[in-house]
Amino acid sequence: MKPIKFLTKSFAIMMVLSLVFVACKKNFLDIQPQDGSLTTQSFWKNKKDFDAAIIATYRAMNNTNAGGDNWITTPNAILNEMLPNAGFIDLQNEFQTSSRIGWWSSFYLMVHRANQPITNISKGAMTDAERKSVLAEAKFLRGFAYFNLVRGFGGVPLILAPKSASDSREDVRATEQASWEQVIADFKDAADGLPSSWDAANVGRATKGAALAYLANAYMYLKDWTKAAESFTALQALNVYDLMATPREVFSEKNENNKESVFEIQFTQGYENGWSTDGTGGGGASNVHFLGLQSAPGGIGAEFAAGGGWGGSILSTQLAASFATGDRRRFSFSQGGVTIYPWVLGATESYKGEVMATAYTLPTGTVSTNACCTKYWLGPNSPTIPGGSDLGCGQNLIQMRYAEVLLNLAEVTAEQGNLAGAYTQLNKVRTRAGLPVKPVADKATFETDLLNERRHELFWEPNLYFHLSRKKQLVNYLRNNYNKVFQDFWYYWPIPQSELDQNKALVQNPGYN
Amino acid sequence: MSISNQINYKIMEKNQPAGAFLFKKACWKIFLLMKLTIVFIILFSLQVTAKVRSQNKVTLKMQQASLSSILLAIEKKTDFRFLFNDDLLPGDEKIDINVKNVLVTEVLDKLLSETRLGYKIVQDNLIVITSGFTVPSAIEISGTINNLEGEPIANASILEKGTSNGTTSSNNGSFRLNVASANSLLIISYIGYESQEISLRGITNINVQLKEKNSQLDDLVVIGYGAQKKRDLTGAVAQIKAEDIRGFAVTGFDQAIQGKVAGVTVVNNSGEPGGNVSIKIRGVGSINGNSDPLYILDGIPSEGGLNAINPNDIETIDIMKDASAAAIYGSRASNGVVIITTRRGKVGKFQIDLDAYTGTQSMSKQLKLLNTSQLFSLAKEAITNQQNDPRYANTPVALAGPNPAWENPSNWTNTNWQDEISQNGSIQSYNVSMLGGSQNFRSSTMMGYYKMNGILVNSFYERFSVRSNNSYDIKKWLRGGFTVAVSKEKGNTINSDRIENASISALQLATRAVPYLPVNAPDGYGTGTPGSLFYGFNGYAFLGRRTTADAVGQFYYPGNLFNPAFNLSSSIQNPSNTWRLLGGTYMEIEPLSGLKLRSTINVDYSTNRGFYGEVPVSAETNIGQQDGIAYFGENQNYTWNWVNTIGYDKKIGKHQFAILAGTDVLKYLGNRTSITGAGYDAGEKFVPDNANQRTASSYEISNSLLSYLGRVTYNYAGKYLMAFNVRRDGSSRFGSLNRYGTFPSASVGWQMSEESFMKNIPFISSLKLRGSYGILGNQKIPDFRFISTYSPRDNVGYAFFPIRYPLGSASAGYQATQNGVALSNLANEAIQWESSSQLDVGLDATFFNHRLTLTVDYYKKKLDDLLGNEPVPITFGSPTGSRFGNFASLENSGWEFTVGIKQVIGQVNFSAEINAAVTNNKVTDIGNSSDISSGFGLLGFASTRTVVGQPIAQFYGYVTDGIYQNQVEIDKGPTMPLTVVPGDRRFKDISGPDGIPDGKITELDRTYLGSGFAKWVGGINLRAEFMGFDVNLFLNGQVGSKVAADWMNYSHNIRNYNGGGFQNASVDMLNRWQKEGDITDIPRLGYDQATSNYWFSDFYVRKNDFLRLRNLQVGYTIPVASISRLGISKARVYVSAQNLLTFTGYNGFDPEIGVRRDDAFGGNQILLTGVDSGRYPTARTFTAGVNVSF
Repeated sequence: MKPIKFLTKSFAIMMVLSLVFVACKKNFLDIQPQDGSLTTQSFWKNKKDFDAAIIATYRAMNNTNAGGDNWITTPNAILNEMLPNAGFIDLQNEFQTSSRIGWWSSFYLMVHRANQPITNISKGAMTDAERKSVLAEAKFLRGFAYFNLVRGFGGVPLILAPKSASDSREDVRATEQASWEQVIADFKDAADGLPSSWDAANVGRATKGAALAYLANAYMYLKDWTKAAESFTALQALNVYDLMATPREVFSEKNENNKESVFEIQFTQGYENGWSTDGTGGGGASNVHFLGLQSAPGGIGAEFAAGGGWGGSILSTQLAASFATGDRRRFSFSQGGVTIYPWVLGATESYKGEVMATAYTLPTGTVSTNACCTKYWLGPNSPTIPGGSDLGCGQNLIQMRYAEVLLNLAEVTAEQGNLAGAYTQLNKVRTRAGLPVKPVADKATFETDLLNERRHELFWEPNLYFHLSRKKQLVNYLRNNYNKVFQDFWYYWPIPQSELDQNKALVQNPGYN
Repeated sequence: MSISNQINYKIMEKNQPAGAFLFKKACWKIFLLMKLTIVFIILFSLQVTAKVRSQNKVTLKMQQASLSSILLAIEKKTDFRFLFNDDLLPGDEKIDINVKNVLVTEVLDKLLSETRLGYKIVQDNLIVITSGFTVPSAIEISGTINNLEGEPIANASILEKGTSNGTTSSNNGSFRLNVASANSLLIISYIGYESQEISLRGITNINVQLKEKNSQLDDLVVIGYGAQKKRDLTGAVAQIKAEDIRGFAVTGFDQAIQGKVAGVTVVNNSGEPGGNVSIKIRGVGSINGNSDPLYILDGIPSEGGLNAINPNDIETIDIMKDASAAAIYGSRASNGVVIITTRRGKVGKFQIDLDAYTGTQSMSKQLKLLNTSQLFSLAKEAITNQQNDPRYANTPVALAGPNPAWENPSNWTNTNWQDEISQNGSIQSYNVSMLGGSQNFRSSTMMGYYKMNGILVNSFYERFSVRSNNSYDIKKWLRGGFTVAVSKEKGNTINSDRIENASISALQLATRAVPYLPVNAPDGYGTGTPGSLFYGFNGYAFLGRRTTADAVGQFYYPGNLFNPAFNLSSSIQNPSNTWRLLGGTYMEIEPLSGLKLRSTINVDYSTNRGFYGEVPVSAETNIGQQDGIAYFGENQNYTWNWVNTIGYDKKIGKHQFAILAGTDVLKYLGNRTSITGAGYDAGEKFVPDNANQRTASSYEISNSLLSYLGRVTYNYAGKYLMAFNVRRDGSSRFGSLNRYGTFPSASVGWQMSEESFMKNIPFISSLKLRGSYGILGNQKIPDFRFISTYSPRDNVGYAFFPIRYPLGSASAGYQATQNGVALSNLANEAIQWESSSQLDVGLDATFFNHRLTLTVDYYKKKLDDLLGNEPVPITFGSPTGSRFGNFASLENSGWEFTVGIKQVIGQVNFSAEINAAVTNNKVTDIGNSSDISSGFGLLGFASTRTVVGQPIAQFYGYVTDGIYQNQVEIDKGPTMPLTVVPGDRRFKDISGPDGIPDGKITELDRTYLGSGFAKWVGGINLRAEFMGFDVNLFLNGQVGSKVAADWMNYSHNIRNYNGGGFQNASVDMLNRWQKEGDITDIPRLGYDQATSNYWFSDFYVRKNDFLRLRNLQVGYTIPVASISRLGISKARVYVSAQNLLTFTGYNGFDPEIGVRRDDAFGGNQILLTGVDSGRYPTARTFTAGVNVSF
């Protein structure tokens, strides 16, 4: 029978074909995502891709975990000078529980994102100059992340390339020394490759000056005063930084990235980034923080603080009371007939006619008569946000500013034995605060003066706590000012327990077991 | 029976009706033009069907023809065929005929008038030429009908074939019937027995022994790429037949098989129309949520969308539970395989079935809630307690004092919100099936319409479906066929677990909504005038305080609670529309006897248009959402599947072999397009153009699977059975390191009853021991987990946010942002198949002439390399904090029992089937974590914990110890981490840092409180038939599971935690603690209470054992004799009640609680199984229906 043969043959051929089809078409099972996601193959094509990776690294700093509010709340709450929502009432409890997980995770996310362009730098069509610039910016950000990790936890695992999920989980902690050396190496590369300033559209990116300021700070941890001084010299040689005329001008959304600013985390308000209903909003996405809302007195109107006050975070009475009379950081003064408001407002004091309440109720139910800090909500002319819903603050969080650089320089200069030089720097900051200059005194007196100046200049900023921690001044500070016990082992924060669970090679800091 | 008066009928050579030939031709065309639209095909086949009946006229012109050639010519031109004895026909007669469009009967009358012949139309189109002039006078036939044991069968039906002439047997089994011809055929039938056709051939007294339908051992069971007789099976396969689920008023077959098969746990996760059902075969098979079995629909693998299959179309459902049976599906069979076969036409019989039912649905239970006056008095008490509590004395709440409005409850209305959100549902189903076939061609076409209006307002589901199965035997060695199915589904879903904008379920909202508000606000309410108590929208009263700044009001009126009725009826629209086309075609050749080459191509295409809209709500109502928001989505899914197999069956002596080898290639392509629009103003239509902002996205997805498969079965003398399966699968979901997996299985069976030593044991009818072992896989994971991907959106939490960072000077008042791109998936190149090794030992036995059947199975299933999101060190920088990898292991084991009894007691034909299964589950590995916790709800409320050595997802919480009666008790008891006062809940000190009670209540005092997975699940099916009546009683139940009653966290608390103020609650609150000595489990009232009162504890974990009368059906089959003249061969009417009774101690709406579904978190959350947030309950349904066959 002819047809049966023919059909049998065709069938056999078809079956063979299906096998061949399958065997030859190797890519039948090789399917790449078609959902618009980029893969390692399709990404890293040009400068734009690398720049997008850099932007994402900056973005990691907006996270409310360690970025956002906790930039400020974590260290300042430990200092007892900021009483936030939950209230750091029990320091003991605070240090025994691993609540620094936000700090750990946000900075390692930043490390991870910075590692991406660094590892892939040889890919893509870029000029050598572009490559150098990308690398410098990424290294600044990685250095910055490690800088924060090391000063919180001590030596940490040094992850210098993105990990794959199948990689070993057992990354050991580098020594503190080695960790600082990594930070220094990154900041050095960054200082070499970064410009001293950016064009108007890119203001806010890391600069040479920022890299030098942090490099100097890193050397201070290693007590390498010479290298630190060199970095300050290089920074001042850039000739781009100066103090703003009044303390008030330093903090405001209008004056962001001013001449005193060395490095700021950029935040912004605006419809597309706020808590809006466009389907993309939400806390995690927003380039906003809540520090202004939280630190403005509860019930205060949106015309005084963007979004209105929540009264969640208040300033310690002791700190408010410790300012010298006439300190423009604490007391209003008049300039050309205009009242310039300070960084601290006490109960019953008024701002533009709005009298600060005598008592604030904390969400915990505690009623407090403490003062409030206006660094994050009382900037002149907080802009009105188009599009309405403007929950959250767009004011940048200053990470490093020239006043702090001067105080750091003062410390380094004193360590090098030049107390006169040290007082010169310190008095620049005092003068701007409207205070009389301090006479040159001995080293011990200088230490006290420096601590006082740092406290009154840098309260509720990210670095005050760490200067005290670096100099091991916290035990005395908390005992003297707040009658609280600060134990020696607390100078190193506890590694989060969940991280110890996941990485068996990690060793907890002593004292926390 | 002797045979006499035999007539030698010669069936004409061309023994198939001409009509069928035409029909076949037409269908060939269809076969070739499969690309034509399905509508065309269906219309066409309907038209053909109609033709068969109408072609009874003939046009013929012949000269000098013999009678036989004329008959032949008529046969060619019409669909009649003739049956005659050659010898009878006058051979030499020459006839001229010239007729135009004349009835065939008329022609015959004329033709035969000259002869001594007569004729008789026996069937629709069969004409018998008889030797008489006239129809013979009636012949009386008598007889008796007995069963094999000689017992008489009453009410058996006796029908003269081809006529409407019939009767039924009397009590002693005897009958009398007058038939037209001594050669008539009688059809004897009785329910539960095999029908017999008896050719009388002149006999006038017959004794018929009817044989009981046997124990189904000869039934064919579909085993994947083939079928096997049940008696030859070596695997654990359960079969459900159409009649087992017929008449169930359900949307999908999955609901109908609940409780039917031991070891197959079916849970209605929601009672909503078209609701979500989860089927687990032999326990939880995964920790990532995908424990679903693989569904094969007429050979087409199908994931999801089961509702598109009309249950009425189904012929059999075969469920493969063990490795042996399922291994042929290898990588997708780890959680079992469900093979669904739809109805096919059978040879020799054309049949039209009509099935219709209609009914109503209602909510089977309402919670007892406080009325207005009770709520007011409790609220007053709470605030008064607050004022008297020194800790809170000067708080704003206490200073505000009780609301003066609470003094006069009679000024207020008393709304039952449960009534307001529910309705009397309705259900209707209409089905028409046409089945038929000849030797060479079999066809079935089924159409169905189903609509269910749910018991919550605005929920409905509607389906229209058409299916056609066709197969051809073209030559002895060539066969082919095709299937086309189209369905259209439409529905409005009410997410059971959470209303999008409220994040709580509608039912929960109804239990919390305050009774003192009217549903529709009277004039003035809606104006928003300051000073009026409530602000409304569109005439609906909202439950909200006056303004956000209304400091006093916030302690009185609950904020953020919507009007539940408005919420369901107007504010949320969620309709969806799905079209699905399933098609398959195959060709099979058999060049040598037993050698079969088969090629099949299947296509599954569906398109879905979804919509979700929330109407804008005015800001004053303070319910969060201000602008309207709407989402439009369109999905298309397309799968093609090409299967080629070679099979060879051979019997050599007592050795019987079957070998199968093949390839299976599958590719899925899908695309998704969506537009989200926000900022609709009140009254604006939801079209994207009206939205203030729009975001749109569109993308494609795709995956593929390539497989080689093989099977050898061997059987010696029907006694010793063996089967080996192997499948090698390659999947695009795995990287090159582990792309392929091989899945073998082996099984053996011993038909002991065939052994000589057992043949003499009279009560054993059959006895088979079987055992199997095999390794199966699972690949139901998201695509591309082995590739690093980058995305411009942050993969944080449950939403995807654009990665943006502001840069530049703030010249425009705020900074512009630049877009970033970051890693969105941390690649794991090493991910591989989930695997499960399964051991099964089983026994199939029947006793007493197959009247008692017993099946017992024991299994042990080890599931390894389970895929899921495993936490990784944060230092890995994974955007999700986890990696997708193989890290967990589970172990399930269990016993399954099925016992069936069939017995005739007097006139009652009784059968019963009971099945039960016990499942043990243990977690054996969860990677590097010490536990996997999953929490949900207020204060991380209903949390489960999964640890090694314990069953998966156990509720984990505190153990209550009554209520503190006085301060002394508090001082003496274990230290609480917060201040408690008399009237607060007391907890047991179970453990401490060293594992022993430490006198402190801490998180260490939490313990395992049971899980949402039942230990025992079973069903009972009872059936009795007598005098044409049939009664079917079906119960199902479960024992050993718990519910985390999340709804109680709200209903047992009058404080509205989401937005302040007081909400409604259960009447249980009347029993709150008030003074020392009150024995109760409800704490004291207070606006601010010790949060420990709401800790997740055994107070909220409730037993949900239940036994439910799932279905009670009473039917009556109208005696054939009385209806057959209408052309009806069978007619049955029935009434049915579903969920009539539920015996349970559970205090919620419905004890049947499955897995929590939350689409925002990726669908089913298996680790939150048993969490009841106020689940859409299963309705109570009453239906009445008819089944008619023509």
